Amino acid sequence: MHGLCVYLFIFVVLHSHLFLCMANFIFKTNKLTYYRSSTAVFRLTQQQCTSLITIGTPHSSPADALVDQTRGLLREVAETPSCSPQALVDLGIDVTCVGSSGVAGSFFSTNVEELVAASSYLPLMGKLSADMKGDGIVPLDLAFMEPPAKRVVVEECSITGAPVRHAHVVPTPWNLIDGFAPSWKLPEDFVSYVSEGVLPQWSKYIR
Amino acid sequence: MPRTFSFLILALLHGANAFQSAFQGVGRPVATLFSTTTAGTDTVVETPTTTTASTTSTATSTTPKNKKVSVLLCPAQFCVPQDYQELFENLRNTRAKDNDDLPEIGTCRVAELPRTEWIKVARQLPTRNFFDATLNAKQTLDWYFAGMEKALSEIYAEQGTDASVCIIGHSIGGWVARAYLGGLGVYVLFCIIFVKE
Repeated sequence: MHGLCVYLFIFVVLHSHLFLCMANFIFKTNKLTYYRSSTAVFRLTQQQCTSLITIGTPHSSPADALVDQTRGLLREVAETPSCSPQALVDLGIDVTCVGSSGVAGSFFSTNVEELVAASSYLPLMGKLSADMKGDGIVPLDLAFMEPPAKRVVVEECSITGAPVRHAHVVPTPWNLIDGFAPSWKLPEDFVSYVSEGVLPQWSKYIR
Repeated sequence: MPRTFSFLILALLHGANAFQSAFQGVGRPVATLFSTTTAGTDTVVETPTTTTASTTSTATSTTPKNKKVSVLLCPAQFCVPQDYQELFENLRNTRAKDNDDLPEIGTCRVAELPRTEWIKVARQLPTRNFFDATLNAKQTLDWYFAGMEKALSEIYAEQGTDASVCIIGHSIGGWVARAYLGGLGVYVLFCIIFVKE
């Protein structure tokens, strides 16, 4: 397949000038040129990116999930060979996935966080077990890519001992008047991946 | 005549797609294109008291203390750049305190996406692909990739094109970054310009 693509690429490169000369002759233009765009930054980034760290990211959509919330996007990424952790590592990119085991999900609880977590874990996983944990939104089981990506589990804040949650803000999608207005900040004791006592646990994987 | 011209454009665009597919394999050893992952699972459980967790990962590498790394942050859904200033601040503080594991932090940027950009996903709502759950990242998230490229351009403008870049993806931003690095977000577009005198 790749051989065919390379062949087609060479064919087009060799013949594109011919196409242009033909068009030049047909349309009687004096100058005819073409530009290739959108790839310079991409190519440079593939060379210069030294590490990819995902925090609280779902990396797979199980077949028995109640609903595919990404409507196939996540599956496309997960199944594309060039997006695999092995392919990224081969490009020289150090891949680390960070997940939290701080919040259990349960529908039989008076704790609002556990109720919210359960209502998030259940549709993503298609099931809910008593020991299922995550960051309150993304279950731990989905937060990792396969090796050689590194898996890092953060449990609690090193300063307060509070469990690590998914985010430190509540987005405000209804505020369309000011698209750059900051989201609602959660209280300081609401610890997330970006908090002072949690960040050092994964920032050492920055390469 | 216009039909001939259209054919030429289509031929070039088709060729561009082939180029992109081919390009995804370029730069990697041929053997790796067909390789399968056989490494074992390696999970590091970080605890507040375990700041130097051991790992047996083959991908682990040390970071030179004098290395400088810029950071691109890919935000979560509906989050905006200002939401991540706390992260950048804590990152610089961590580096300033003691952390020898952390390289010097260069330019930090968030993919510049106002929350209004997320409305563009709605373009896919009335499509068959949406109902079949077969959406295409390139078509659906082109605006996100553009935001990433804008921020990356700013990093390279400030730090030079030899700058090392770490991409941090929060929530959905993690797999979008993965898609971008894997080439799912790139259009190779040939534009033909006529100048008639």
